[in-house]
Amino acid sequence: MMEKDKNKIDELFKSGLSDANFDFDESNWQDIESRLDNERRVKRRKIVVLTSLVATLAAVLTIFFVWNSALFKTNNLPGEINTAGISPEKEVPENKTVQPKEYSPDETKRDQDWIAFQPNKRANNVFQISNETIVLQDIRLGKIADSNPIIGQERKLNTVFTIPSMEYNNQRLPHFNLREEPVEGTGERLAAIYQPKESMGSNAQERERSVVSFLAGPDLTSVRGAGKSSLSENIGLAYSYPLTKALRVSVGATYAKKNYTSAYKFYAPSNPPEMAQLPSNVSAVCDVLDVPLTASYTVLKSKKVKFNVSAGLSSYFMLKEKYTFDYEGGGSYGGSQKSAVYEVNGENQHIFGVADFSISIEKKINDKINIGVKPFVKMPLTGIGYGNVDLESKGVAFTLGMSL
Amino acid sequence: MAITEVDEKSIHIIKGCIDEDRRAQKDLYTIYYAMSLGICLRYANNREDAISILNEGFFKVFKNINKYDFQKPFSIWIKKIMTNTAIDFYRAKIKQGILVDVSMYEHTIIEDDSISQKLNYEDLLAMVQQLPPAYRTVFNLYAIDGYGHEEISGMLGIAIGTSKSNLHKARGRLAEMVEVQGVKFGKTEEKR
Repeated sequence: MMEKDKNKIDELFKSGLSDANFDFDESNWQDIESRLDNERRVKRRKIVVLTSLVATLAAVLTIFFVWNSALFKTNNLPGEINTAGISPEKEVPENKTVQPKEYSPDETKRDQDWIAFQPNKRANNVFQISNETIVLQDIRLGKIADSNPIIGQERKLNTVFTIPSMEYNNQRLPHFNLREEPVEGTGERLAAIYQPKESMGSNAQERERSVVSFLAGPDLTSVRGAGKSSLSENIGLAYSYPLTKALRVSVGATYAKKNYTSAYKFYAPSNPPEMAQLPSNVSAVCDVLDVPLTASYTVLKSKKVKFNVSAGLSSYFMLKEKYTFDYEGGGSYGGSQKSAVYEVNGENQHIFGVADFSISIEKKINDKINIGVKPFVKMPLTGIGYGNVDLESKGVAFTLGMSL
Repeated sequence: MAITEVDEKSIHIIKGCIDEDRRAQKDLYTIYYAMSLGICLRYANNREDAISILNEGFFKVFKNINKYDFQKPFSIWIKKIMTNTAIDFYRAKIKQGILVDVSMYEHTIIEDDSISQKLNYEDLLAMVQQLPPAYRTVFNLYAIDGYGHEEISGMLGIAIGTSKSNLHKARGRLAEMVEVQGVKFGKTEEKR
C-alpha cells in the first residue's frame, strides 16, 4: 500500500470518527450509579468488619488481662508491691521471730489483699503461726482470705487460716490450709511439699507439649480489588510442636470451601479459552486443601491463658474449581446463552503461595484440653486457581486443642 | 460540552466527585458521556461492549479521581482512562492475535475520493468495529489517538513488529471495506 493511501485511510477515519455526538442515556447512568452504591456499601461493610476486628482484638486483650490480673499483680517485684509497711531494706532479726509490734495489724492491712514478704539474704525470715513455724524465703503470700496474719504474730490453730494464693520463684503454688496442713521449712521445702498436690506439678505444667488442634470457622474470601467478599467455610486439623517455651512450629491441613465473585478483568488465565465475547463477571466455588506451615510466638502467657501471634506460609491444593462466567447481553456469546460453566479438577497447586498471619488466644480447660479463638488473614503471594486471581481471606477460626 | 480547561466549575465538580457526592458524579458523567462513548465505540466490537467499557472507565475515574493532577487537562486524563479500559477489556484477544491472510489487501487503494466523502460517522464506525480487536486497537491508537508503535507496544504488551503488522492489516481491511462501500454507492447511483 502506498504511503499516501495509508495517510488517506488514517485521515478518513480520524476526521470521520472525531465528531461523535450522542444523546445522554439515563439508563447508562443508572447502571453505574447502582455500582457506585454497591461499592459504597462494600466500603462501609469493610469499615464495620475492620472496626469489629479491632474491637475483637481489644476485647480479647482485655479479657486476657482481666483473667490474669492476679498474676500480673503477683508477678511484680516484692519491693514494688511492698505496701504492707515492710521495708525491703529492713533487716529481720535473726532470732527467727519478728516482734508483732514491729508490724502492726494496721500496717499490714494497708495492702488489704496482699502481703509482700521481702526475704532476708542473711537469715531466713519467719512467719509464725501458732506453734507451727514456716520459714519463708523468696515467698510471697497473697489474698489472705479470712485472716489478717502479721509476720511474727502467733495465731491459734483453731482459726481457719487459708492462703488461697502463694508463689515461690514466680510459680504459683496450690492453695492450702495451714491449720490442716501445718508446714515448717524453707520456701523450697514448702514448694516441694505442695507442688505434688497439683496433678502435673508446677514444673510439669511449664514443660511445653505438642498439641493437636481441631479448628473450624468462617472467613470472608475476595479477589483483591474486586470489592466483593463472600462467606467461605474452613475445617481442619493442626499439629504444633514446641521449639522453645514461647516458640512453636505447626503444620496442618484445612479443607476450605472458597466462594468468590469478581469481574472477569481480575482473571488472567494462563490458558484462556477461545471466546467471542469476554465475560463480564465470574463466580467461583472452589474446594481447597490448605496446608499451612507456621511459626507462632507466645506474647503473653498465664497459667490458663496464652496469647500468640503467628506467621507462615500456606500451600493451596485446588481440589475442585467451578467457575460460572456471566456475559452481559449474552448476544455474541453462543446466541442467547447468558452464562457458561467451566470446571477444573486437581490441576492447580500453589506451594507456599499464600502468606498466613494470625493472632490467637487460648484458654486452658484442663491439663489436656484448651479452646481458642484465632482471627486470621491470608494474603496471596501468587495468582490462585485457574484465573490466577489474588485471592484473600479474612476470618476467625475456633480451635479445640489437645496436648499430647 | 466537555470541560477543556480546569475552570472553577470543573474544579467544583471534580472536588465533589472526590467527596463521592453523587450529584457531582452525575454531572461529570453527563459532561463527558458523548466524548467517552465515542472513544469506547471506536475500540469496541459493538455498542453493548462500548457501554460496558464506558461504565467501567467511569468507575475507574470515580475511584481514582483523587489522583487527578489539577494542572493537567481533565479531558486528556479521562480519555486515557477510557482507552486503557478498552484495551483491558479486549486484552486477551489483542494479545492472542488473529491469523489472517492479508496479502489480498496489499494492493487495495482508494481510487475514488468521492467515496470517502459519502461515508458518514456510522459507516466508518461500523467498519472499524468489524476489525478484529488486535487490529482495531492498534489502528485506533496509531491513526486516531496519535500513539507511536513503541508506546503501543508497551501499552498492549506486544512486539513493535506486531504493532506495525497489525496496523498494516487494519488499514488493508479498512481500505477494502471502503472500496466495497464505494461499489454499493455506485450501484445506488446507477439505480437512480
